[in-house]
Amino acid sequence: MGVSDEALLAGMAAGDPQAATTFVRRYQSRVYGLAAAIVGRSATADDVAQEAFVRAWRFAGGYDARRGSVLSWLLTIARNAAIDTIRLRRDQPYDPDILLTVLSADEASDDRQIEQLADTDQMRTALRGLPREQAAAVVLATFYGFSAREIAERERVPLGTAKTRIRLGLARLRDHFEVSDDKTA
Amino acid sequence: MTRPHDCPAMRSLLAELATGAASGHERAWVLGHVTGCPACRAELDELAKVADGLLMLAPPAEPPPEFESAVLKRLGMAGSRTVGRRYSRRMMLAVGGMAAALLLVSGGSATVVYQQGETDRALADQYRQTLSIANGRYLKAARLTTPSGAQSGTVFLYQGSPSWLLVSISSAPTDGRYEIHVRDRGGVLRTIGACQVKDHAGTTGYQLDIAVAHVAEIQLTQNSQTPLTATLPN
Ligand SMILES: [Zn+2]
Repeated sequence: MGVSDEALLAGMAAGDPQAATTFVRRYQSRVYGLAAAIVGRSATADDVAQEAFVRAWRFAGGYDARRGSVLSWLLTIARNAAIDTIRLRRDQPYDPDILLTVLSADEASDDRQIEQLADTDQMRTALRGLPREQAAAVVLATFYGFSAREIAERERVPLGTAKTRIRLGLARLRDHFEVSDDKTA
Repeated sequence: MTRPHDCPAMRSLLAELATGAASGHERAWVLGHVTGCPACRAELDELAKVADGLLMLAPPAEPPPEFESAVLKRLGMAGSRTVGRRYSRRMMLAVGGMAAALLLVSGGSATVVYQQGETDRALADQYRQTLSIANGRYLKAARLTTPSGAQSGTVFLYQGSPSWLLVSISSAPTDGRYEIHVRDRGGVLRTIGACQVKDHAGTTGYQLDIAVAHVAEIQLTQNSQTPLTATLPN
C-alpha cells in the first residue's frame, strides 16, 4: 500500500521532494474539490488549494494521528485557507443552499478506504435529514467561516436563533452518528 | 481554575467553536474553560470531529494540470533534488514548526494566545487537538550523521497510535540499501526495516513498536558497517 500518509507528511515537512510529490498527488483532488466548493471553480480555488499544501508543509508538526486522518486534517487546513481568502472579499454572495446541494449529492467514485466511505455516507444522510435552516447555519459556519452574528444577518433571524440553529444542527449530526455506531456495534 | 458553573453557558458555545462560528473573545473564553474542564473538552472534541467530518462531503475535483508543479515550486522543491544548504534551511523551518507545536503542548494549562486571522485559527485548531490528548503530542527530530559528524539526513519520531519513525536521507555517503536499527534506552538493538538510497537520497517510514521516549539511537548500517547514526536527546 506504499508509504503511509503520516510518513509522507513528515517527509514533505523535512523537504523531501519525492514525499511531497506523492503527498500532493494523493490529495490534490480532495483539497481542490473542497476549495472549489467554498470559493467556486476558479483561479482562486487553485490559489487556495496551493496555499493549503504550503500550510500543511509548514504546520506538519501540528498533525496528530490520534485525532483523525491526515485527509481530515488537510481538509481543515484547506477550509481555513479558503475562509481567509473569502474574508477579504465579503461582497461575494455565498449561498448555503447551493453548497448543501453539492454536499448532499451522492458521490460514488472514491478510492479511499471503505471505512472512511461509510462515515462519509452516514454524514451525508445525516445532513440531508436536518431541517434546512439548521443545515444552512452549520455549513455557513463550517465552510464559510461565518460567525453566529453573520449567520443571523444573512438569514434575517435574531442572534439567539442563529446560535440555536448551529447548536441543534451539530447536535443532531452527532446523534445520528452515535445511533449508527450503536447499530453496527 | 475549573469553574463547573460555566458549563451550561459553554454548551452552546462549544458547537460554535467546533464549527468556527465563535467570535474571537468567545473562542478565547471557551478554550480557557476547556483547559480545566474534561467534560467540556470531551464534548468539544466530539463536536469538532462532526464539523470536520462535514468537510469530507465536498466532492473531489481535478485541479488544473500545472497544479502539482506549482505547489512544489512554492515549497521550494521544484526540479532537482533538495540537498545541501537549501535543504537544511527548509529542515530548520520544519523543525521550527514542530517546536512550536510542542510549545503549545507544554503551555497547556496556561493562558490562551489570541491572534487575528490565519495564525489564530491554526493555533485554535492545534490547541483544540492538543487538548483532546491526555499527554499531548510527542514529536522528536534528530540529525543523522556520518562517523565524522557530517549531517546526511534527519530522523523523525512521532508518538501516536501507531507511533512511527521517518528516515529522510539527503546526502548519504554511498547509494544502496541501508538497514535501519533502533537501540532502546536499555541497550537492546532491533532491526525495523530498510531504506533504499539512490543519488545519495532516500525516504522511508516505519511503525515503531516502542515508545518514542525509549528510543536512544537510530543506526543505519550497510554491510554490517554503521555509516549513519542519530542520537535522541532524553
Ligand atoms: Zn465545562
